[in-house]
Amino acid sequence: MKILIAEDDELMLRTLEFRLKKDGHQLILARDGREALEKIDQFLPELVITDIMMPYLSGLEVVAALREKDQTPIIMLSAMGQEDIVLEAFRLGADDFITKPFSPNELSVRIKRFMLVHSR
Amino acid sequence: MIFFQALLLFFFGAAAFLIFFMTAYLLIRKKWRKKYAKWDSMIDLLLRKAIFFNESGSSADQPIPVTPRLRVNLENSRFRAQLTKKITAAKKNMSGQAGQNIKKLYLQLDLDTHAIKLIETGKWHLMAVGIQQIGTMELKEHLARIYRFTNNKNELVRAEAQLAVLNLFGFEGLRFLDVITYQLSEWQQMKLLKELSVIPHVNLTGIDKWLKSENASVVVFALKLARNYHHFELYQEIVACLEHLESSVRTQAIYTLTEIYSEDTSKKLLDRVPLEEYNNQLAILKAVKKIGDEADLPRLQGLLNTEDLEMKLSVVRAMASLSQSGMDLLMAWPQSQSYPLKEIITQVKSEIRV
Repeated sequence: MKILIAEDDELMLRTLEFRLKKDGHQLILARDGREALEKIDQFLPELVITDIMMPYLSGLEVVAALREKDQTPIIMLSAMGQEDIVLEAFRLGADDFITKPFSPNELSVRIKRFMLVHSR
Repeated sequence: MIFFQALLLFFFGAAAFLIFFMTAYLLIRKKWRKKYAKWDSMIDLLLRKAIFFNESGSSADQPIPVTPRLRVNLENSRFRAQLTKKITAAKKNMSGQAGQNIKKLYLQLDLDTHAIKLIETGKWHLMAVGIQQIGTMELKEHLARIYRFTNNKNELVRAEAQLAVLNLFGFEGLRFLDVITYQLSEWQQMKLLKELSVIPHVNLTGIDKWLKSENASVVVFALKLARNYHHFELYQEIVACLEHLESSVRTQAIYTLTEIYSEDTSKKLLDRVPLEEYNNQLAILKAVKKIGDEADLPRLQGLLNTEDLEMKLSVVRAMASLSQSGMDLLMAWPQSQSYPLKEIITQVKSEIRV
């Protein structure tokens, strides 16, 4: 599966890259919202995983911009206590969210579930 | 002429010194940036190894492999600070086995010893950093060391200690409210409530005791806890706070009674209006708007004679929202067709429509 990860924390980005590459996914990395949108247009990922708090464009703006174009599944990464923002993300069209702190394995399982649902 | 030459010499000398200083500064900064970038990639690699430690087939008892170079670098306080910053940030983001592995690495590198050393320096800015680390890394064994700082004279130290205790023991950690004598700032109360909002809620006991604390900020915080976690059984204690000497406590009691109320709460609140300060009077009217009933209309009507426009607007809002009879009473009021009541009623009517 071709997955785009948008995350401004380099360690988190590399950790997710390492974990998901191990699962056999093809990864596209973006370090801010603006880069994420550019790479989405360029590489047409099948799944987008995006942090909420990012420079230039937030995760919410990425969701809103993406939903204007297509229905690519989106998983949001949010910090604890951001319930209002998560609700806003769902309203804008996000499909799922994972709350930080989270286990990379949990993300891996969620992606497998996504693949199952979308392959039906 | 000599003066002019001296001035010129001074000018060129100063310029040369400035250029030399700037070049040296930029070179040193570049060197440090390079060094930090190198350290960053070294630390990131180590952290990734730690996060996926078990997946490489290693047993949980084995130590996480650390390169000799990194061990040497650990002696450098700047490197250690950078490493600690990254480890604690990673711990905040990772849970499950990954989070446990990060904690294991932190302990393996003896960073907890350094955190304790920071706490023992007695310098408030270092103590706060050490306490924060203990909390983030969930080192419960160090509770005794940090608990006493929850009532430290330094605001930052005690704020970090209070948050760390919550991190370690969740709602149980709130026991520090029994003993603190320093005020909890509004900001600190917000941070504590935010911290609590992500901790699984357990049956919280002790609020009744905190509502009677001699520390007014503890009473305010207890009222917020009672409101957020719907402690209806504390109704009488909350009503008693309406008589507190501190205005901020009475304000908070009014807010809390807007969430935890019985049939006669609005009556009790309206009884307080003549005794209260202006801001609390407005808070009461706002509360009555939400929880009042038709029985409150005559008393609200009595407040319509106020000269204060803000108060008049609040009274009209409360009356109009209670029932249609409230609006009828307003319209029948003698001054309802003249300024300012006429304009206020029009405004409130449009608010209700929206």
